[in-house]
Amino acid sequence: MKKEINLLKSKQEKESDSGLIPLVKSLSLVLILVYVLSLIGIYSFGFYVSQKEKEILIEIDQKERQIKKAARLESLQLTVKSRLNALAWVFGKEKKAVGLVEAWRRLGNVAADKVTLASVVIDNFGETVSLRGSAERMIDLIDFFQRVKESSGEKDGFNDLLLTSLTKGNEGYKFNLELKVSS
Amino acid sequence: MNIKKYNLNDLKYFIFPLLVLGLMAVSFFLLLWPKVIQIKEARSIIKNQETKLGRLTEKLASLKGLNETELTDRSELVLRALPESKQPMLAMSVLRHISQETGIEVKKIDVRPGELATLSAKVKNQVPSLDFSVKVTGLENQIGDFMEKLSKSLPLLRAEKISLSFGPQSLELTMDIASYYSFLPVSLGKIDTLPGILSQDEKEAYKKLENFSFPSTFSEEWLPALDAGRPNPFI
Repeated sequence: MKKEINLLKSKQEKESDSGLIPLVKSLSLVLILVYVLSLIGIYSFGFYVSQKEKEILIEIDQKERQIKKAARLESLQLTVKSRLNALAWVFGKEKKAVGLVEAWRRLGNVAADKVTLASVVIDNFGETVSLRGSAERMIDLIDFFQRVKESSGEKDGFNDLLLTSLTKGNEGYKFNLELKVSS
Repeated sequence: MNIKKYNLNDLKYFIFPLLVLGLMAVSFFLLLWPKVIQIKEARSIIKNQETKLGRLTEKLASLKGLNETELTDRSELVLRALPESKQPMLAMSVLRHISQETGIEVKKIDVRPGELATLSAKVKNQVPSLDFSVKVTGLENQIGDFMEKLSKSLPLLRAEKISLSFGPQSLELTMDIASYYSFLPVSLGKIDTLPGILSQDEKEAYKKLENFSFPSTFSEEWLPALDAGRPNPFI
């Protein structure tokens, strides 16, 4: 009886072993299949990527050749741009200043007959103006200052009048006037 | 206690899967992983190359949009306005030409060439200049015309300081003049850098420049003849 039981048990164990082995076998086959497929997939994707890289490099090369052919155009554009940038800076220096020619002409007009201008110095691209002159009568001088001041209402007019010196001599009143040009 | 005894013959069924797993692990590190890394790197390279290609396409399109004739005209004008180096003789010739046109008398021209201007030399201003002063005498309207013409002539001459002395009959004008120049660009820059588009200030500067003129009768004959180089002994 005992012998029979042992035989039955060993038979059962053998049966369970024979069920595990095909499972392991099929699992490993599936694993191999998946692995091989992923290997093929990754390698073909790698091939696609390298092909794409080559295509892009060829396209870049073509574009670079075309750009190099147009180098003359680029150099002209660069020359024009850099010079215009420099010119804009030079012109910009004058923006806040009244035109130099205009400045002394206007002062000459304002001076009229009663005030004699001895010298006009226009500095800093026309931002500051120094006047030296004389007038016989004080009233003419005051009138002159008033007219210069009135011109500050105009565009690019003068403001910040500073009378630096006023002396009375035999020939009348001598003055030094400094003006700043409004921005 | 019942201990199950396995026969070695039973383990042979597990050798194949274990071998497969082992081979897979080895080949993963030898074949698969390097390829994955390679693809990853290639993709990042492609991404960069695509960006570069985009910039190149954009640059090519903008270069194709440039008009060569217009650019040549523009560059001629700007090069006349701003020569590539200090040109004292050219500036003085322009001064002489304008003074003859307006009928004023040039009393003195004082040129201060300064240090030799090279690309490596430091310049005090954004745009380097050759400074000189000129003293002229003439009638009021002549002086006015002189200054007017000077301010509209090429190469670009800019009065930085003006001193006027009023005499009994004529005016004496002393001007500090800056004659600007600008070096030519030495390189085109990177191939994928876009050529600069003119800014609003630059466009305005060009518009202003169109009103300037190179003295109409000005030609090489206005320039003083200077001997240069070694004379040819065979002539």
